Amino acid sequence: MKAFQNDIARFEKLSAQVLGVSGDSLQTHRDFAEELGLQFPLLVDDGSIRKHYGSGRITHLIDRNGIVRYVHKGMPDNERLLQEIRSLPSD
Amino acid sequence: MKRLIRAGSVAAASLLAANATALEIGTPAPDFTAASTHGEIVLSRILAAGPVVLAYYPADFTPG
Repeated sequence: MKAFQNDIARFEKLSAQVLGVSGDSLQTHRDFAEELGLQFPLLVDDGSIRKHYGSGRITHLIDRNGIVRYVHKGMPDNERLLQEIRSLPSD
Repeated sequence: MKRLIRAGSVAAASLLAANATALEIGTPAPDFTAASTHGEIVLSRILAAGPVVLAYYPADFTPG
């Protein structure tokens, strides 16, 4: 999540919203976000998110029409993600 | 003991399989509502403002 924070301005410039998600509690998320200085939200998954999106370390890029455009398993690659966001249709 | 090890392997394999599940590219992303460090988040409302990078990670206080 630290890597996303380092590049957060680049995501924001493309109007993309980063959402971190895990099964941790809200309090643990608050402590983690404070320690790393995370400006983007950390979501609490009660099981309904991983049911559809998988869990572990997996990143989905969803376009503004709600369509999955890119999926990456393993450590996120911000350069690739930013490139994928730039290539999304603008409508 | 052997049976225990076998049971553990099956559990680990099913966990890996669950981890591998992801949505297909080009399919609709199911909407969800979740509590967050920025209040309640509804995916469809966030999408109205632009694309979303949904980054699932194993646990807080892990690297990455």
